[in-house]
Amino acid sequence: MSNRYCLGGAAAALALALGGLGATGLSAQTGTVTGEITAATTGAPVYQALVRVTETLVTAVSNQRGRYVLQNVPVGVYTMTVHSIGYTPQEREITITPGVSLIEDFGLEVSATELEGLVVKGGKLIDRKKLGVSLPTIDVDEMKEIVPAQNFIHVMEGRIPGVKSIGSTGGVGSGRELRIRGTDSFGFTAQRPVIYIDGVRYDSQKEDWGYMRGVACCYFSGGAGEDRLSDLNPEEIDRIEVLKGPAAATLFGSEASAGVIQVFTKRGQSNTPAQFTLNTTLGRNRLRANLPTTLRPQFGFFDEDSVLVGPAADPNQSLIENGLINGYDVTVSGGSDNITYFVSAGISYEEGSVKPNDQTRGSVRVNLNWTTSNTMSVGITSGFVRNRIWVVQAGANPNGVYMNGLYSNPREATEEDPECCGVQGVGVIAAREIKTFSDTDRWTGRIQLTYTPSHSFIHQLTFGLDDVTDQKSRHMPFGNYYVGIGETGERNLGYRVSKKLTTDYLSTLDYDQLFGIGFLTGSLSAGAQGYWDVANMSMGTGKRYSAPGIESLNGAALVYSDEAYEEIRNVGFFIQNRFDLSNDLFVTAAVRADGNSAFGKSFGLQVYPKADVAYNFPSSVLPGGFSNLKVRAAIGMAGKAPGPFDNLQSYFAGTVMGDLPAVRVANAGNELLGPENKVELETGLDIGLFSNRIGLELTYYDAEVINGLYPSPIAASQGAYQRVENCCAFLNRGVETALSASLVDMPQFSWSASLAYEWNMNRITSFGDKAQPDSLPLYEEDEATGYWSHVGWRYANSFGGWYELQPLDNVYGEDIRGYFITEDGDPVHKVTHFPFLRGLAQPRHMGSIFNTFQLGGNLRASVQFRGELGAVFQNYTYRDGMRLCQCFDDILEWDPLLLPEGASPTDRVRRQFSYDSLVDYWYVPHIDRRDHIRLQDVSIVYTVPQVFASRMGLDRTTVTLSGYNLHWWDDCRCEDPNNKSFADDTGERSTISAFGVPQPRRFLLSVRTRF
Amino acid sequence: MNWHRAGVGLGALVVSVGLTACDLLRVKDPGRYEEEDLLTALEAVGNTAEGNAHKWMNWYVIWQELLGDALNFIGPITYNDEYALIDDGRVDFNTYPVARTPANSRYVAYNFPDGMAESRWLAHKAWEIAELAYEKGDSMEAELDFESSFLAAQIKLGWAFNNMYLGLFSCEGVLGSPDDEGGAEMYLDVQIYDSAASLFTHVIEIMGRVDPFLIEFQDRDYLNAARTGRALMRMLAGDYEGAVADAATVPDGFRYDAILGGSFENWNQMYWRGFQFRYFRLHDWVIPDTLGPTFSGSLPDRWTGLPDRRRQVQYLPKPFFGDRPETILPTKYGGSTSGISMVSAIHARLIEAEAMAMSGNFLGAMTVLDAMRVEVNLPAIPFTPENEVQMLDVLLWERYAWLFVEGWRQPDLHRSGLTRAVFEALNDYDRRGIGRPTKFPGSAREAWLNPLVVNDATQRCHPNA
Repeated sequence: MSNRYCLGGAAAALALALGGLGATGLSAQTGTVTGEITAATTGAPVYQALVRVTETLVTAVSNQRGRYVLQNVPVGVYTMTVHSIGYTPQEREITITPGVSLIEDFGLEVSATELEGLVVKGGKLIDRKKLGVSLPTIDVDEMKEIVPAQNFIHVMEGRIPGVKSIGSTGGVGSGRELRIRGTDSFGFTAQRPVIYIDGVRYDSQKEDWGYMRGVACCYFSGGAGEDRLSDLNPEEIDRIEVLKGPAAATLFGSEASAGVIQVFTKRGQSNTPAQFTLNTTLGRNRLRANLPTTLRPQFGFFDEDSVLVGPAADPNQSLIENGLINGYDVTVSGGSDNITYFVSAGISYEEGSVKPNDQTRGSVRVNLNWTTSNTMSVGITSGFVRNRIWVVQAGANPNGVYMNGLYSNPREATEEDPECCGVQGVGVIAAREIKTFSDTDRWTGRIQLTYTPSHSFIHQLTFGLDDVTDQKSRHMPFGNYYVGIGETGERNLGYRVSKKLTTDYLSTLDYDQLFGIGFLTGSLSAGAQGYWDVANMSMGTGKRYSAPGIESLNGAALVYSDEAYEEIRNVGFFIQNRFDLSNDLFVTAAVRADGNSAFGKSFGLQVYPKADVAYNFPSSVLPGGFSNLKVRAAIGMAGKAPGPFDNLQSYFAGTVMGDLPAVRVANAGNELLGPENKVELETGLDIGLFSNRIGLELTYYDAEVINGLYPSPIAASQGAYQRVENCCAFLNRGVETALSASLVDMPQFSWSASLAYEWNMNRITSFGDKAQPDSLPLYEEDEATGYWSHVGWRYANSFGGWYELQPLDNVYGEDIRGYFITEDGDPVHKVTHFPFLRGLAQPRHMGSIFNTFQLGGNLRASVQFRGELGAVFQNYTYRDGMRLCQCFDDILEWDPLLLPEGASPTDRVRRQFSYDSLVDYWYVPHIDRRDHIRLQDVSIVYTVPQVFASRMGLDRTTVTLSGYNLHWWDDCRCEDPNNKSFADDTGERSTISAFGVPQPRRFLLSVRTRF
Repeated sequence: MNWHRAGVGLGALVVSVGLTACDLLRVKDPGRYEEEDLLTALEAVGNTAEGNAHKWMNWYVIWQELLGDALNFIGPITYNDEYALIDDGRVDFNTYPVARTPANSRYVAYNFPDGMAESRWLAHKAWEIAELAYEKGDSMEAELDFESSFLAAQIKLGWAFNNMYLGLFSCEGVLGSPDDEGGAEMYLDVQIYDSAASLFTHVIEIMGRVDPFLIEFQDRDYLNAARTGRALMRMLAGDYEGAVADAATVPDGFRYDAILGGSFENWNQMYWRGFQFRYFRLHDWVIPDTLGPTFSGSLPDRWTGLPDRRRQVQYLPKPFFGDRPETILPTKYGGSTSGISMVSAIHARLIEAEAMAMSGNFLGAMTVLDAMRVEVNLPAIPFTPENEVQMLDVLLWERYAWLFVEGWRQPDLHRSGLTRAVFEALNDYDRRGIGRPTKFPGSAREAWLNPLVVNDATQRCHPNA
């Protein structure tokens, strides 16, 4: 191994030098500050406001009555700040004298913006005004009071422009879609942003297993898979920060090109008595009865005399059921002088509306922080979750419940067997008898040492581990017929063990007028980060059972096994400096260098630079009505490392000449392989109007991906047919706007609203030297002579249908091929030589609007709509449904290319799409639009008057009635325009909706109380 | 605790981590071998070089016998023929309609020229690995000189056959890799024959150095395989004198077969008796016979009408598609593990006969051919050719019969300039044969993706010429 990575030593030495700078102890003499925080307009206490003595680590949070206590504040003169979401921050100077208790009350003005406030960066609180990038934050605790989100994806859904977070596949616990700022990579599965929990890299894998040897048809659960993000219990989350792209996430290096989401779990507050919370949720899932069964004109069964007697096996009635939801969470938090704690335990059960499908999740978390001295603290977080998902068999899967439900032929049903006759003879009853489980034990934790020799200087060392053991099992019982198996049953038992080890060191030095020079004020950070990801997958498959009753592998006549392994290591070093050139102008520059095990051995280090600038117009120059105006601009680069072993030339065992040992090329390898790099320019305006009652954030980003990774074709004389190369370039740009307003703010009624909108587009700009000429000739038959002649050229690119200057996420129709029957009854062979561009797989426009109403002091209501515009998909459900039902009128709306001239439409269609047709109908897509508007969240929150709550010994208590995913308006002939077949994002260009169970529609009653 | 010191210690820890990052970033896929692993797996390395030639021999026969038929008919004769991607200069074999590979599965196609290029790369790599292992003393026979080892002969023989079949198959091909010094230019088939002959010569030289005691324990006769191979290459290059010199050293009864089975079954047997027959009416172009509807057995000898057991076939009356009823399937190979002759004494004797014929010694040539026919219980050919045309007809027919379904018919017609005449004679309703007077063109894929190849079709061999 070359020494190219050893540059890390230099960065480490810098960190060491920083570490050696003055460590001065603080005074042991202290005082206390107490007070009450209220809303200026209404006088109502402000709950959970953050109170801080800026120059120290002393903080507190206001309680239900708005009261706070700051203890052990060192003697001196300080700036005290108060922040609370929805209010304009306040600060004032205080003087602490030994043994004296100050009383400081605050009356906060309502604010519709977050233009002012604090964010946590590198263990320090930083004023937002100093940031040159957009850094949206979700206060989950606050949000859950209004929207009782059941999972992480729901927490993120429609809240932040640029972040697409939707349910897309299957039922409860199944894979979801989460991506930031659209598509800009061939590696669709890598579009999911990196997730950090309290600074620890988090396994957010969401793929189905379909590639293990011996496993029968159609992925493990038909493509639904399960989403490891469903392991997260939102009740444990304090807040979420989103770094949308390289401009903001440069310091995360070779994994941050798709953005970074940082999740922070809750903490206790020092000098606070134990405070308990109890949250109970009860509700149900029930899908809309809008399954596309109109293709079956008559649901019912025929008696012995072939008389339709019904009632129906209509899936809208028989397949959709109530799914029970209940959940209980209890937390306790508090702290003494030196130790704070947050402990939580929760259990939830959610049942899908299409069964069998449920999720049982139990979680326990202990977060401790121990301040060992004035300069040293130790933080420990430890979270364990047990998440058991009975995964619904969904997707393009003839053994799936939903598919068989839709395609069961009611005309062939009987009273005894009303759901017979499914796809290829499987049927709903047999599909429902498949048991598919993902049973996960997961521990995520870290220890963090913080050394603060002075209030301006901090060192932070973090060791974290995310340890996931997922047992996957499936049983398809003997006696039922299943596609790919027959009637002899199959058992699968596998494990996926993932370990992500994170090591992080960060040192930050704030300096003020260094060397007495006024503008030499700012903050210098340096650090190193290493991570080590290992994932091991194994699976055994048993086949050919002889009788029912056995569900273990060792009872099978045939047993297969398979194993897969991934490992990737990364070491990165960075240095960053922010210059506070004035109170209004802030300039930051940084650089990170990464070495990664997936880089080619001749590649060396990858350097990622960044710079940003933020300018806050002084209030003296702002026009009337403006309370804030900030201009920001940032440019940065981040990367995406290749696959774990893409760089290695490797071989696997084989045999030749009968059974003699031999080797075959497994991977061509690439010594020069580097990361896919994305350079992003982000500019924006943050505007506050009318005392921040109206806020507008406007962001434009323009990103270019260079060195795009792709398994490029190579000449066979190089030993293989492909290897992963840095071949291509893309651009990705968009606009994000967030408008928020406090429209009414009266003592008995308030109304606030927020509107988010984003526009995004992408394009392939270069295939590099892999672009190929239009060099393949096309021949067509001359009907008159019968001879074939050269008529043109076929664009024979090697990129599987991608084309330069076209979007990455185009939906393509396949070539249409097959024999068309002429009027004479002769088959004439036709084929379209080009895939047809059908539109975009991802919406070009997305938006949401969120309204909150406060009625009196105890009643709040909220409603959120979101919508998408500009995406299409291949509606296989409808297509195959039409084919099976021979719904000729509908078929006539299909692509006219399929319709030969002559004959009556019905005859033509019947010939083409009947079972006897030679037309290869599988290649014929039916394109529908995903455009829709969705009523996503509705809630009514009643806060029990304190006078009543107190009688029961309770503090703040709320009762919430809510609905999620209640209704949508669309223009597709489908059950849900967001539906997809597969949990992962592969196959973007031919995004398919095929029998993924629609997303849950939830109705919940929640009670949250503190005591 | 002195936290200041602790901070220094912490920094020191980070330094040490940074310095050891060099090793931290080394990972290995436990499911895959890397090159250094193969230094101790020389048996597998050698088998790879030799066995790949056997594997591709299997496919070579299919291409020559099945697709050679298709190549000579422009137009759609098959269900999968929608693209009609027969190039003027090269063929995109991965999307070539009769390659049985979907157009979008470009990377896993078993197309012959690209497969041979990949196989050649592996042979070259095997040579490098084995040579390095001997240098490092990792081999069990480290005390021996590598170029005096069976392993060297084995690798070189596989490499030589690789080149031989590439030359037989295609009118052009690459002999190197862009990763090699010297590059990977496109060579014409005659140059490829020269290359193969050189490699066979190297095998002969190596076998001359191998300890005779060790040779006795070998059941693979690399020496005679190399002699026969070089004879064939010399004959195809027009060096009959050299060819006969080599052929004369090959003893009667010698055979070197492609060993099949395991992962690589005899696809000729599998395909022809399976489903491929539905797409290709095999060997119509070389079997003018009219056979009964239930025929199964030996085709009649062209000269005597007696059953010729060299050509075993089966008549299939109902094809899958089209309006021609007859389909005749070769049944030469009895099972999925049946070997296919790569070189044998039969080649040597046929070379001797051809060399005599080319020098005007028709009688001598016929004597050799008649002697060979005795082995299959056929009487002598009942006439003596009176001119070169007749002699060539006899020679090619006997070669066709002896080497039935071994991939030699197409190159024989090509080198004799008879392709067009034979195919046009077979022109009929739905098979518009034009008989391209060439072999398969080179791989378009190689030309596109190999930066060292000048992708100029006008400089290459042309199937439509």
